[in-house]
Amino acid sequence: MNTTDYTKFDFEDFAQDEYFRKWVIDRDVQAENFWTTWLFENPMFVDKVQLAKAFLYALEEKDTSLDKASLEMITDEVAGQSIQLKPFWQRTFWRVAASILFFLALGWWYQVSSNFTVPKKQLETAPVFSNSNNDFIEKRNLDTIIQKIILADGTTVTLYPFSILRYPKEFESTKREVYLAGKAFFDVMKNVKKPFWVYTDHISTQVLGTSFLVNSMKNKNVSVEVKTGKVSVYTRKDQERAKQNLYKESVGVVLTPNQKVDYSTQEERLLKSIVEQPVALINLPITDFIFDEEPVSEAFSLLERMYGITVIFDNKAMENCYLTANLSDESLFKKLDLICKITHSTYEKTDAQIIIHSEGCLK
Amino acid sequence: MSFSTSSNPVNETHLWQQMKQGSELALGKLIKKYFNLLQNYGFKFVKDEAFVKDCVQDVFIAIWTHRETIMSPQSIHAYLLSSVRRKVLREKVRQRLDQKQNANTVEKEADLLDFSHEWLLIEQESLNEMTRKVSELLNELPKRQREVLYLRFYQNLERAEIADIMGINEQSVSNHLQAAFKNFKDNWRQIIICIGLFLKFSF
Repeated sequence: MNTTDYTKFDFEDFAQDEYFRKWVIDRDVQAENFWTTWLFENPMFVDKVQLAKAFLYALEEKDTSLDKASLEMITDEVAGQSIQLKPFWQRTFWRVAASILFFLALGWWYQVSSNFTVPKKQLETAPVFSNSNNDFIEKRNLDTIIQKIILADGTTVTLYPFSILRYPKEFESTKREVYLAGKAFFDVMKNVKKPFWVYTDHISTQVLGTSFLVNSMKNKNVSVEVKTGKVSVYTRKDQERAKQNLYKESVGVVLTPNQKVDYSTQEERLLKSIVEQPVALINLPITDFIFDEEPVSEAFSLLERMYGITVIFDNKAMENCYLTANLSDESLFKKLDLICKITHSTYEKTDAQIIIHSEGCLK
Repeated sequence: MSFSTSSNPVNETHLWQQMKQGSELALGKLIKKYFNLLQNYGFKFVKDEAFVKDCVQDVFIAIWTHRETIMSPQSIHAYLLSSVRRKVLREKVRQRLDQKQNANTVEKEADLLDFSHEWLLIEQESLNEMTRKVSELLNELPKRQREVLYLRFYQNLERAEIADIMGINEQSVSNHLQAAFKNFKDNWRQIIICIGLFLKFSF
């Protein structure tokens, strides 16, 4: 209970009182209720209170306050820019890119129709958590609806039906590791010092971004798809070898937006490629897509920026290629088809990149 | 009824330490606590919300980027305010330079703009009127007095902290405060009397 004797207060005391400020500056509802009641009971203080309030408002001039959600977004942006300070004027791009969301789609089809059996073997290959008391939790979603789980670090996991998640009660001090069989959506609390790992039977995925969907179904091939953000994928085998030989270099595959990796169980290797339907990562004004006798290299650089996929072409060979087209509609591949048709060239997809073959254009 | 512990220095220092150790939770708490206050301060120098927001955000980015080597200030609130002050003024100079204006026209001193009359927020008419009057009074004060008043009352800082931020000594802060208050006190009784009549009807 607020026991302060406000009846001895003068105007400047009000202005400096913490609970008064909570009302006026923080616009706190509870505080407002208190003060409204208090004023009702002490009407002779209306003048002083009003003046103190007016004084603070006059100093404030304008309420530029952001709401809680905006402040949380700012926190994410600040935390995401820990590596290098971006020049002041290049900020917009990062604002757009801030909502990091990426997909992992790991293969393995579960025969949902058949009886759901817990893949015991898979879970047994889970890493031994070095937590001495072996304190981990296993959540099995045998229901038909999704289940929400909040981990110790604040990460939320949406566990889909017929999936299992195993995680320690407390994460280790150096990394966060969970084991998944099935499908789950992860909204990972970023923590550079404690990387987040998702292990599945054959591959391990290290999370370098914030949220992603792991969709592991029982199938011959496992695949990881990234929409936005960044993850690195390792085969469990390579990881083991790397540990033994203490490789300096990482053996993983880093995936950026619109890239995916397939794991072939037979060959035991990872194959990187472009997702089937790349999505635009940034919103560009429609005028950017209209080309009027412009060098084709500009179109390629537009596509690179838009989809985050590298386009390799021979600048020299194509220096006389100019483009007049509207590329605003259609998918990445439709756009490429159109460009290639106009410039008499072809393209191929190799290692998640686009390579343009051209014999050049006439002057 | 719970009271906010915003001035609890132990809590604050702890939060700062956690942030230094890479806790995003602590970073979030600092942002939640100070971002709006810092924006308001920055807005005193440049009346451009987006610009000020970027400046404040930059200050936090710089802190987060250098968190491992950054010092632990005595007063986090004062430290943040002075960082924002520097940032806003520096960016403003840069902006003007970009506009190819003569650099000499940029005042070296803190260019605290006049208190404007944006009272959209304040719905109650009497309060509105009173705020307008107070604002007029404030605008009659010299810039430095105005800033001292603002830091003392709106940001609730101690004299020593204000001295640090403004780069003046503590005695000057006291002098400014005293002068501002004298000036003010002579007039606010009038405001009360003037508005007081009005209040009787509106309450």
